[in-house]
Amino acid sequence: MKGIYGIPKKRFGGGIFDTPGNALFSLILLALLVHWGMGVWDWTITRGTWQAETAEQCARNGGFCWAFLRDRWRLILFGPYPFQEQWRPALALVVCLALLSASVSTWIWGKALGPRLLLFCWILGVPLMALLMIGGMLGIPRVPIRLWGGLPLTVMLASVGVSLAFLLAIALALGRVSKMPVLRWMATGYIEFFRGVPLIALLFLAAILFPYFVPPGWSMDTLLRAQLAFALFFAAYMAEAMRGGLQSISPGQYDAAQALGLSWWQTQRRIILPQALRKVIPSLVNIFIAAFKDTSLVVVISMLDLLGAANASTAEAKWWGLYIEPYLFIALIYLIFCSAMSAYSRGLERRLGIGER
Amino acid sequence: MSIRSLAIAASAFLGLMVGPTFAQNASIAPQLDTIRERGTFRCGVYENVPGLSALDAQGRRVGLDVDYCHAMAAAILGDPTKVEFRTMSLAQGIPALRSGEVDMVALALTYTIQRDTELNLDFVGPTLYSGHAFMVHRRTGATRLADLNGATICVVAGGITDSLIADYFRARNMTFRPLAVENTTQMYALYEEGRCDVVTSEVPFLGMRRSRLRQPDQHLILDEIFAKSHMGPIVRDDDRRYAHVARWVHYALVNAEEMGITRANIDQLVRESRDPAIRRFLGLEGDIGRNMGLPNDFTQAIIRAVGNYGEIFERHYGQQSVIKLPRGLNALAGQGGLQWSPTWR
Repeated sequence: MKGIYGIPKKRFGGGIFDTPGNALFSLILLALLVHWGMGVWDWTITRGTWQAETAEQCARNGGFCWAFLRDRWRLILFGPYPFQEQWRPALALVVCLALLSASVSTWIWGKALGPRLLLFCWILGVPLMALLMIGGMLGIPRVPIRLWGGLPLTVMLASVGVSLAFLLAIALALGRVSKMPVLRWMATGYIEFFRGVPLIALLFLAAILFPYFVPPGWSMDTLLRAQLAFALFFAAYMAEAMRGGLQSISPGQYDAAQALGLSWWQTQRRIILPQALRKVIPSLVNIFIAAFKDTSLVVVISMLDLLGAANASTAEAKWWGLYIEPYLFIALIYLIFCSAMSAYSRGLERRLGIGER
Repeated sequence: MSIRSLAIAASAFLGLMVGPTFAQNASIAPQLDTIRERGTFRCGVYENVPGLSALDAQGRRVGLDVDYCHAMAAAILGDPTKVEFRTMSLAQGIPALRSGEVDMVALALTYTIQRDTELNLDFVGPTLYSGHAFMVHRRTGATRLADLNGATICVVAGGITDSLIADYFRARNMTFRPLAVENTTQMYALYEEGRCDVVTSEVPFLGMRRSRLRQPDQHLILDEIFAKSHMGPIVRDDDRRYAHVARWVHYALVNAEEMGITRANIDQLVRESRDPAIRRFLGLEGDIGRNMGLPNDFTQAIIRAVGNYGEIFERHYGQQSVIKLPRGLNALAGQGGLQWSPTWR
């Protein structure tokens, strides 16, 4: 590959020191980075407070309050979940993340027994996670759902919500481009409704108004309702992204599939959907990331997700007044999760060769 | 955060809208029976307010308001842990109570005539007496309230503080510019940046926050207290029997302190006390509890759960807390404060 001036591009250094202008710019940036890095070092390490009983001592030093994080990290990570039992959500989280990463691994899907093994693991994993979180069996004390919180809650809301939404979105997208008018109208109506209503309003509908729409005595946990609201909401967005993919498939593909004698279902499953979904990976991942962060809206139904728990972590008089530390801490967690998702999507795009065909 | 305030406003609106239907349903069965059937006491508390209701390092909800919820559960259900906390804001509290979503709202609401007579609520306590003061930047040169004419004051939207300040200033022909903020974190952050000259809050909290500013000596807390607050939990007043229970749970806490009954010595007193007043109070004689529709020894359950009023105060505001607030008006009436209990007979 050649650079813009015809100078051979190297792996590193290309565009960094190749012209005097670029070199100067790079040096300025480097100096800024060093300056900024020293500032961060000074704030976190030199003036950071490691031992403190209250926020007052941290305020005297003016630096990062590590003592606060040492005291409250478990509250931020697990919320009000009973302290002695917090190994359970931690383990459930590990199981959940392991299952999720296995499920999106192209390596496992490529193996002969891979998909079946995955299905088996999920069938085993979901009840295991439920047992860990809820308890009440096998000598594990029961923990009411209203005490769930922190990172496990955020990951659960996001992953279950996105998975359900993904399945629903495929159906919606197919309905949206269907030749059958009733189906098309229904799908369009659904998508327009859920895209037109703010997520927070949906959560309120789910939490407060839902009980009025169902027969008395028929109840459903608030968290489950919120979970469904999430799935329904993001399905609408994903369906629109998928429709874009479906519409970019040339009609010739349908004709060719028909000529081969494939049924409608076979055409969708073997020909259309694999191509359409591949084209919309970037926008789907975009929606996944948005969904992950939007889980913080569950504070409106009094559930303490990661953000809610971070807010709660400084509420006691001891640490009252701190706000940079908890927010930085959870920002880092959000960043790790979101960049993992986008790194995965970039890898997938590279492997599937999007943009090259 | 504006989404959050929208949410709160929306829920308050919805709560008001759906309130009456619920209230009619709920008033059919006596509240005490409803709670016993459910097996848990539903209590509305703040999500994050130091001293009143907050999560500790182990994720347990602690605070003065929280202890009143535990005391109610101990009195009615015999088990202080059977509380279902519903966290809510000031604006959500009254609609939630009227709709029957919670059995009590412990949001340290100020006792006002409107809340008592128009909204049909019954106040418990006051469980906490306090007052508001102002903190100013020293650069403003203000040393008295009278110097604050024309100042910019940060106030948390939705409370009654802004109307109290407005009244105070109007009465003295003074003006101020309010800067409405979402919560106290934002309020102190804006104040420290100098976006407003003045903040106002309950006295102990002002002192605590000043010590946590970057340069505490650049800020002055004015001596004058400009508004008194007398706060307590509230219950609906459509079930007299239940409202009595709520009120007398508070008196039990105060009376226990008057009689010197603590979490530490209650077992001994139950075994050994010959004082008829103490024996009557603890349900060992007479039938005070039974006549209220409670177990006769409900006061014992309360004190074993949370201690007496003084113990609760010291734990969350006093010497055992980091707030270190003196008892002041919250001391017993005999000791210069305003807390007292009617006679238990």
